[in-house]
Amino acid sequence: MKVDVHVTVNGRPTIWQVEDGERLLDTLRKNGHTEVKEGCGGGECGACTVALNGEIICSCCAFTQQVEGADIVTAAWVAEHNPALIDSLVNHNAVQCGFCTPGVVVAADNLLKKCTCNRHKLGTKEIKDNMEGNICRCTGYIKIIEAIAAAAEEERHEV
Amino acid sequence: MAFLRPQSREELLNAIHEHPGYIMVAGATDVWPKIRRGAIKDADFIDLTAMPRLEPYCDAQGALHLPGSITAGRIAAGGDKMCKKWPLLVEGARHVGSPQIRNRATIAGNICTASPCADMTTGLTPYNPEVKLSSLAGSRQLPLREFLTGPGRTARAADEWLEEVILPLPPEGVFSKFCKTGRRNALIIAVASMALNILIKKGKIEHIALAFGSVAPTVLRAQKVEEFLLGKELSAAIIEEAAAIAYNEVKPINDQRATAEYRRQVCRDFLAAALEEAAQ
Ligand SMILES: Cc1cc2nc3c(=O)[nH]c(=O)nc-3n(C[C@H](O)[C@H](O)[C@H](O)COP(=O)(O)OP(=O)(O)OC[C@H]3O[C@@H](n4cnc5c(N)ncnc54)[C@H](O)[C@@H]3O)c2cc1C
Ligand code: FES
Ligand code: FES
Repeated sequence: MKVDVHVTVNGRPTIWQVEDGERLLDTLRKNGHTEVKEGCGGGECGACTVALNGEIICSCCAFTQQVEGADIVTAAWVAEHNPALIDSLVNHNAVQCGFCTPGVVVAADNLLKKCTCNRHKLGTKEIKDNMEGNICRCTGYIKIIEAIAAAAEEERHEV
Repeated sequence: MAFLRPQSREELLNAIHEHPGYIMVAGATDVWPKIRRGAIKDADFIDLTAMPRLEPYCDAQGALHLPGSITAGRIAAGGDKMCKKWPLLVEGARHVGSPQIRNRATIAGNICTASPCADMTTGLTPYNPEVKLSSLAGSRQLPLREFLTGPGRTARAADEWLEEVILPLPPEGVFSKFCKTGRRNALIIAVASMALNILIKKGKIEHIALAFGSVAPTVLRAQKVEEFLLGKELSAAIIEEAAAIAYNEVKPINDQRATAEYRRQVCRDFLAAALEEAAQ
């Protein structure tokens, strides 16, 4: 049986028609949000990361019906609204094959938002802790961490 | 397939009464990997996430009541009081998976999965917590120790919902230590973990509660170590003996993550280091 699920995705109110028990990751991809990637499918790699009501989650570990009424942000939204973060990742060579990047971008944007709220300097340890759920097979992480730190510094000077 | 979303406690209790075979789902961080592995097939679900979000509170005796639906992320962020009075609970929650997982993983899911390596369960155990189970027939309270009956097995009846976890106030001045080791924090299973509460008064051990994770069929309460240490004074010799008892009391297995022998050694060393710290 098909059911309606009401969500706001990347700022746009949407009604999804889904099968009972459908996975959020599949619904997103079926509805054109192919920037959300499936890596492990088991909650471990973070490629499928989206922000749900301001908190990052793995969309491979959620039922679509569970997000009724929620606000969802994917990497596409971040690309549009936080170009400084994207530029920083590119400039630091923090993107190689790019498969992990949509997840990294959502998790990093979420972290930066939390920091601008309390305006503290973002330390390496804090970045690492927050990016713990995002596996990258290519970059060795250092470039990703440096890119996020640089983006945070830039933001701090702007506000 | 059915996917029910009860909106209130009453609707939920009715739903599990009518459909005791349906699987309850909260954060789904255990349920989805199981679906994927084929361990859950052709199932119907009762979703707990449409219910009102409840907040933790302390009762007149000072005991902490946690709603089953509270996430590891919420606990890990702690409040002052939670961090001060029940630090092992907060530490246990901080060790669950990654931020993505913690934002979904509930304490009831962690307990009901009944995995020997469940970190929140390990952190809770030294507080002698009780779980409140509710069904249409009413509620009952059970010590967590009796609730966990084996790997993946609990004393929950099919129509019971884990509504609350209740943590008594630990004795004033207790020293707490949580340790965990594994290949990668964000991976599901630890090599071994330990949660210790110890109170030393006038040199003597007045209270001790010790739990180990990942080294027995359930989270293990190390009663032999506790019995040995209670009333003793901590010295280098006593610490060594206690650590040796721990080495023998844990019942680990070999798996792809570590050998049983390595797990025993980790438990022994965790305990020795924590007791040395407590003695200072
Ligand atoms: C990548 C990854 C890493 C992980 N790392 C860790 C880790 O480091 N440490 C750790 O301890 N765990 C870890 N886990 C396991 C999992 O996240 C936790 O056990 C979590 O607490 C489960 O909660 P949930 O709400 O997601 O449970 P769900 O998956 O929703 O449910 C789990 C089980 O509990 C039952 N259940 C849930 N709520 C209730 C209730 N109120 N009453 C009765 N039954 C109920 C369900 O029926 C189901 O059988 C990890 C999981 C993943 C995917
Ligand atoms: S695909 Fe979801 S965490 Fe890997
Ligand atoms: S860039 Fe290839 S996985 Fe991260």
